[in-house]
Amino acid sequence: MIEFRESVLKNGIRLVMSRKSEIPNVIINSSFHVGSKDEDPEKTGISHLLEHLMFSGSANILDGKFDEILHANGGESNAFTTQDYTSYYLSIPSSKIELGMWLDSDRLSEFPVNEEGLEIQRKVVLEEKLQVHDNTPYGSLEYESAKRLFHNSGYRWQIIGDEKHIADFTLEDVKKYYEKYYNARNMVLTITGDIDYDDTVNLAEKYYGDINTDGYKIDREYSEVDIKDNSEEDIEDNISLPARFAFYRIPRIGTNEFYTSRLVTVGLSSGESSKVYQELIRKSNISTESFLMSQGMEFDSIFSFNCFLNEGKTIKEASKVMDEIFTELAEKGLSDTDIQKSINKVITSYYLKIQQSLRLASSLSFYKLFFDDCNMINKEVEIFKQITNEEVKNFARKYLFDKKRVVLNYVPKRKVKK
Amino acid sequence: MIDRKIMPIGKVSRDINFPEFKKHTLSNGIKVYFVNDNSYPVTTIRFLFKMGSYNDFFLGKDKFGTATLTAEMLSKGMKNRKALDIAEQIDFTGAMLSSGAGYDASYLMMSCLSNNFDSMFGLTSEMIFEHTFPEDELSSKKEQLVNMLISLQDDGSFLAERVFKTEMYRNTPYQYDPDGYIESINNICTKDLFDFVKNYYTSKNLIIAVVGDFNEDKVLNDIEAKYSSLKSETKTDDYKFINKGKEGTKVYLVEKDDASQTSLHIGHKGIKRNNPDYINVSFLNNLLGGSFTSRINKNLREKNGLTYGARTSFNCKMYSGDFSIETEINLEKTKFAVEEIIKELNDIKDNFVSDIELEETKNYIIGNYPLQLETSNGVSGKLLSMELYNLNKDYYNTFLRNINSITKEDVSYAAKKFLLPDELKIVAAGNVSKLKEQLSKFGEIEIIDKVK
Repeated sequence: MIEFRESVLKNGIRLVMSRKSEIPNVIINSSFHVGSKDEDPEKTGISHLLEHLMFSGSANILDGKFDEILHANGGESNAFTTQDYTSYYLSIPSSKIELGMWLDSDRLSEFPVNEEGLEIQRKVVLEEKLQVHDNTPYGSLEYESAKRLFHNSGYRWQIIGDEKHIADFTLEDVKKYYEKYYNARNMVLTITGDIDYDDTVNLAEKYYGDINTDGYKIDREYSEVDIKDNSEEDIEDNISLPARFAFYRIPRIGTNEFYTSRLVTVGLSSGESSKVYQELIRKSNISTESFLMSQGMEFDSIFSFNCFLNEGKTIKEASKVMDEIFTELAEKGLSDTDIQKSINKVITSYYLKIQQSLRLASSLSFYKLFFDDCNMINKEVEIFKQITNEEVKNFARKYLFDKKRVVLNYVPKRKVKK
Repeated sequence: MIDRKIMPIGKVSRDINFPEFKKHTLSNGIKVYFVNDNSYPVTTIRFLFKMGSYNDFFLGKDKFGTATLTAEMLSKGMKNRKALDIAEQIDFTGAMLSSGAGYDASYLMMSCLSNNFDSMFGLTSEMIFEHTFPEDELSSKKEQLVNMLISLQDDGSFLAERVFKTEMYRNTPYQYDPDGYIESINNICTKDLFDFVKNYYTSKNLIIAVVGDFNEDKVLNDIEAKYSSLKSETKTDDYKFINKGKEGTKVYLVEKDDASQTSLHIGHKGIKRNNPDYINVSFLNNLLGGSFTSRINKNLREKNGLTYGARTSFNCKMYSGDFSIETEINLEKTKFAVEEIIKELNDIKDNFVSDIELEETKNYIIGNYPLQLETSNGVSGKLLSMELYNLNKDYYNTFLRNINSITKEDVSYAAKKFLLPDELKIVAAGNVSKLKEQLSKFGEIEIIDKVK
């Protein structure tokens, strides 16, 4: 059981704390309910760019000094942006918790960005896009799959955004976005590690209590249209070996179906005894890397079957085995052994996760932000245990056989001889 | 309202000690380390054998990848059980197993819930004593390795790193990558694996670490019962690393005509792990390019916006080592980036670091150190490297004190002695025609047609 305490600051910031005192450090995690799907279709990538800019200095912290001050005091920081939320975290020796809060909250007390920071980070993000996507084998997968899985909502573009948009953002664009979403009532503050609960509440009130709540009103409307039946396309890429990716749209995080999908990914593709490993890798030598993935999102989630092919093997051979695995899942579900196996794996990962205060803080922020229920951290294993094989079969029939899927076959670019 | 202009500095941190550990030496020489910690119901056991791809070099023929394949094949079949049955048992308990080889060591590692520890300990021991290396499993594993290597040919940073290592360690046992090469992997057969086990999987080479929630007396008894029969006779592979004379800076270019960035890997010779200057060198590295706020990352990313990130490292092996700078950099500005990197190397050689930078680097290392001790994986890894590299048994306990006592003279000494900006191997994978023009000023250019 993870013990935690909650509190709400005067301005509405939801504070979550969990004491864990093996080491003399604390983690401060500030998470905002905003991500790439909330962006203007003409200004994609602004969530992620703003994430970079939050480290460039603020009212009382000179340009570029955020991480310098933090490092100089024994800390470390990072952040990430998803389709649905943006999360900032830092670690610092517990005796310097106030300094950590001061650094983190100063960038929230007033708009922290200036022209110079914007110009530098714009360039850094464009280089990041080259490194992570454009110049990387299979790096366009997020872009290519998102635009085919979604046609209406903000899930249809990739998190890093369009390079033309990134090149054009003005300071005013960033400011508007910041003012709308970086609002006290749109955030969760989670603090884990070597803390005293009462002191932490007081300190949080002191540093975060004056953060803006003006004009808080975020309406999220979500609607999507069906994807095309059995759309299958070849994508040429700078790769030596082909790969096949099958994507499905499945229900949102928190639903029983979504948990079922997670159980299916573990049951079918985790470990060398799994069906996916045995059929695609071990017995047929079709692939060296194949796995299922269930990516949870706020309104719709993405389920995928990823298969990287070995030399000399064809997409046709891979697709036959991949389809058979899902057909069997729809007919028989998972075996009792595979279900038990998955639950045991979930339990082990749970304990390995909570050993780390950083991962503990991130989980608590996530549960608070999307379910308003930190106790989910203690309930998840139980939820997995309740899933029946009937639910597994229903999940497969309903979502994996709906014909509505996007298949992308990555193939080596044809080279023109010079 | 608080006055945000005032930075709350905070008190000095309380000290942290490395977890208390016990060391046992079995009659046949096996070293066993225990850290008992019942905060979580998980236990990690690691077996480390003091041999790795270094030893592949001595196998006579082109057999690079043998150490890796041997370690990965341990779990692929035993006297009475097939690979699939073994995998079933591991997966069913929810345990995590991994094995593999680096340059100096091979490992087998298992993390599991503590109530499964006994059965998992039994299983890992069977892997070490009763493996059968079935032919069909080996050919499947070989195919996986070969395909991974084919796929890595598409990755610019992999190409640049391989060329750097080949040039850096040419004709020495460290030239060859633990993962092997497409041709060499195809040369390996089951007999090679059995021979490798016979020669190197010995009590003299074995170190065991158990960290987590377990019964010390029982586990020590079990280890003695299983492992006291392991033979100690070990093949020794001696190689004399010769210090090459000055060679000057050279540029190596690898064609990746589709690349929109340059994969840059620059470096020169470094030090071995148990060099007494290691702590000064790693401190120097931290400040120069080891973290987000280090000089080189700040220059290339935060000041010039040329990259998503740049890092330096001293890669210290048992008998030798290298210093490397790695980054994916703007194609048009590659020359400028190399100039800036060389400028930074010279600057830290020519000038003392300020008192403030010295103190801040100390705080950074000391403040972040506890996070490395938070998990059983982290603690067991540190114990094993202490034994592997023959470090003082107080190494981790005195680590913070030693960091604290570093002076700017120490940093300057390390920079002057171990940074060699006139002796660089500059490897760039990318658009060769553009890079040729940009990088010719740094030294003689060699175009690498095929990266093995």
